[in-house]
Amino acid sequence: MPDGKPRTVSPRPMLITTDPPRHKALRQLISKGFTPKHISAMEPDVRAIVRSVLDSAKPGIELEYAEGIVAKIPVRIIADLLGAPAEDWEQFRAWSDASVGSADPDVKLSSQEAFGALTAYFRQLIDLREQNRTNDLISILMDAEVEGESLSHDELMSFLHLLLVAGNETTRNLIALGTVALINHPEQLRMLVHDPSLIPTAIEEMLRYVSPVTHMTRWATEDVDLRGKTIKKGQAVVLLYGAANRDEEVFGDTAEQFDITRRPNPHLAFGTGEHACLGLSLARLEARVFFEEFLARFDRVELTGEVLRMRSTMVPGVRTMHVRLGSANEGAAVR
Amino acid sequence: MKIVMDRAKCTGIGICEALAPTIFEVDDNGELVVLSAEVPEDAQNEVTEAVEGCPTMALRLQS
Repeated sequence: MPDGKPRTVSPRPMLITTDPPRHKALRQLISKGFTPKHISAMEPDVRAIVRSVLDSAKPGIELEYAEGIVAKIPVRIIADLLGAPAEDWEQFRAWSDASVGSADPDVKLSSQEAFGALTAYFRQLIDLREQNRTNDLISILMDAEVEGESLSHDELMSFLHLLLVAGNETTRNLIALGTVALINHPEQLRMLVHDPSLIPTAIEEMLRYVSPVTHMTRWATEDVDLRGKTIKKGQAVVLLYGAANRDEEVFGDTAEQFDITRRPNPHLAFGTGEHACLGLSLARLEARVFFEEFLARFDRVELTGEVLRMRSTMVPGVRTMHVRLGSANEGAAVR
Repeated sequence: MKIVMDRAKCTGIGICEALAPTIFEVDDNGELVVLSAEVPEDAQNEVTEAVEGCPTMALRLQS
């Protein structure tokens, strides 16, 4: 199926709303940076970032997990990939949050203001690279050509916005809500603590069960018959990933259950087809390394309050969740 | 069994490489390289998973 029309608030040409064949050409510019080989090579950096963040999490005390721990990780990784210096990472995160959370009354900055601030910031990074190219994604995109032409200023900007938002909110949502799923299924959490080799299949189950991105809109290019209904050519279709991921015709009687050993697990959390998530290898790596490091330090995690969600229809992440962590080593002293 | 790749459909996302790294590799230009068109006995399962897991249906098996 082809693409949704670009949002009216953002008239820029976005990769996720571009049709083939130009879509493939645009996407290939950055897909090189996201191949399994490139992503595997990032594992030591990802692990170092995860460790440095987890070092601030102490067992036995109440702490805020979504903003205080999880949110710090994906934004650092994607900002690093883009070429933003470390001292800007927290500011980056505030803008990224605001640019997707405009429907949330507690997000102070409007999405347009955040978008403007990010654009000005990207402009600075680009200006620095006009003189000296580096080996980050911004430099790669500045040198890139599609059909013999460089990217337009708008295309370059929209790429950077998309990479930041897509690389940040989604992964953080997966990790935070994946943790909530583990807390709500203590027997699964115990199983994972005892056998960390289950972490990769557990991540797939989190992707299925959580479905971090709720939907995407596409337009039918031809009539399609689906379960007795006809989707007409030209009609808009909202693809609800969460519903697909609980389809009992695919996942059977256990479709509603959280099962970290589920295999096979043909979920659609990353979408499918021409527009399947470009960053899926990176998301899997970040989530795997996070839970490897987290569960090696903490074997118990409990909620001490409500899980507050972002009021966003597309990526309704966790705004705050307070938890108490328990570690096997210090458990006796804590309790 | 042989692997047949449709380059027009492939977007170089590398899910196949993640599932069967000895058979598939996305090169530095973002193009998929099939390292072994003939599927080795001991890699049948992961190649089948890779073919089925391709989001753009760019891969198929031919006996």
